[in-house]
Amino acid sequence: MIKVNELKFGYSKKRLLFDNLNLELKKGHIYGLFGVNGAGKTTLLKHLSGVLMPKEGSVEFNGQSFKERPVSLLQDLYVIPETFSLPPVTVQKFFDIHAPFYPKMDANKFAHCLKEFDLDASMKLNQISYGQQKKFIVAFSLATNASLILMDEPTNGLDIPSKSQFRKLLAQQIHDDSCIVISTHQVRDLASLIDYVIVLDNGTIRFAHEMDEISKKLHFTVKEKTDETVLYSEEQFGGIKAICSKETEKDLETDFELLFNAVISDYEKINNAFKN
Amino acid sequence: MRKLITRLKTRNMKTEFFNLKRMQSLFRRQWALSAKSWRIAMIASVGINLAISMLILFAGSNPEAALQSLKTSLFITFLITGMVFTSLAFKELQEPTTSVSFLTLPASNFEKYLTGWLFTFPSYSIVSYILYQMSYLFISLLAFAAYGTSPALVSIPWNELGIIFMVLFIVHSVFFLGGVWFKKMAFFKTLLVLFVISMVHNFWVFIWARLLMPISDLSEKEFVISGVPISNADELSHTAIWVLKSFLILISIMCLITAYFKLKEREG
Repeated sequence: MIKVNELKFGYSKKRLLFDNLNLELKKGHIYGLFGVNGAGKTTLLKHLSGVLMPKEGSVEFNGQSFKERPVSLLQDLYVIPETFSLPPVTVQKFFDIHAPFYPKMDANKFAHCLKEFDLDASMKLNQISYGQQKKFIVAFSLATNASLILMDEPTNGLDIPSKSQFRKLLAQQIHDDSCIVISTHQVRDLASLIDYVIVLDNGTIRFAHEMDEISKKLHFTVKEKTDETVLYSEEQFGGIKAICSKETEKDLETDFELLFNAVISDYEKINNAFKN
Repeated sequence: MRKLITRLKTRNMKTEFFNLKRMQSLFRRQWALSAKSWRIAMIASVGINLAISMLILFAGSNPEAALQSLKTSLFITFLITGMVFTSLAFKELQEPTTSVSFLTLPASNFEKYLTGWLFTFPSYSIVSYILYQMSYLFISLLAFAAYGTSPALVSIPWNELGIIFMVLFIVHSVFFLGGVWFKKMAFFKTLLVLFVISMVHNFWVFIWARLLMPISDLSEKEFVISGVPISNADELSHTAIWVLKSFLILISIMCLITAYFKLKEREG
């Protein structure tokens, strides 16, 4: 679906943020793009949406380059930036004036998403809270039925019930022809949704694996002390939280935060576990 | 078969570049997003000018002065408001919180450019002309009720209308380019650039005049263009006026073309 080939990009001429970055995103997945602040997540999303153009290399969406930003590609793409401002119009008006740009727009789906998020079509977008604005824009993006939806920190500003509404809705609405990329540093918020993990650090992809693969190769557990099977551990009350290379007696669910910290501290060690 | 593929490709390219339906949607969107600011600006412009004219009409008991004042002040107000609107034509692209949505909006560069132009030039000119005439008619009706003068619309001869249109076109194209070029405070920056250009131009002319005519006091001499003294500019030949007009229109067209490519570059 989307292919990044040998991408080179930097905001200054002297320092490149991305130096020969390669990535392939496929249909039917929800990708979690994790990274610390300044790792290049937003910049990568801007490249995936054609907002920024590579200095060298290419970004292709369904085999077509983003150069010249073709309308046919934009019709099949929706981006939710981290910070945005909505116009002083009602929810319904916004839908009416933007829906014609998206050929696959589904008004029923939009109404359903609004209902799930407790939003009303008569609400004025500049008079609702930031969290409600975020929910609205998520509802609109899902209703476009775009093949590629890019979300930058979508759970920022959402309260706890809204976060679970968001997860529920996203899980309901994803279909086989679509691909969703969620960039976040709040790894715990979206743990149950994501089926592919990408960790970006300093403009380089340090880790990119499917959840199935992760659960087969890495074992998350709690131990009293470290041993030779432990790839990474963090101390906690009464023992350690650990990622092990071998199955343990008390295998727990994937701990995204632990995995993220493990990749950031020693990505080679974690990646080696996938080679066997 | 190859012909068919080529035809389909060409058709697709054309649709990518311009699609009337998409253009209509873009225009509708633009109107919905800026209708409120248009309304406020227009009501404020007309309201202030009407208030001043009514003050002159009733305090000064001079209907002709009131109408004359309204004619001039409203024209200047609409001109300035138009420049501000034009500078804000691509505001969405300039703001970090709206630029991503604008850039990923499924419409071509040309359609976005054309919508900006249509919205700030023909549409604005028509709306402001209607409001101009209505305001004038309103004051002239008040003058008729108070002093018995005959109510009328502003009558502008065709040749003057042509000159006004040309002035608006030139001013608009400069501010349109400024609106695309500058990321922040485009209106003030364009004004500043115009001021600097005029200063440099005047200085350049002055230097050349000094070099070509080494005389002590330039103001005492009569300069001549095409055999006609500059002090008597009304007698400038038709050719000279035509050349000047053509030059200004050419500059405006160049501004508009540059604006398109600058927008394309900013979008790219």
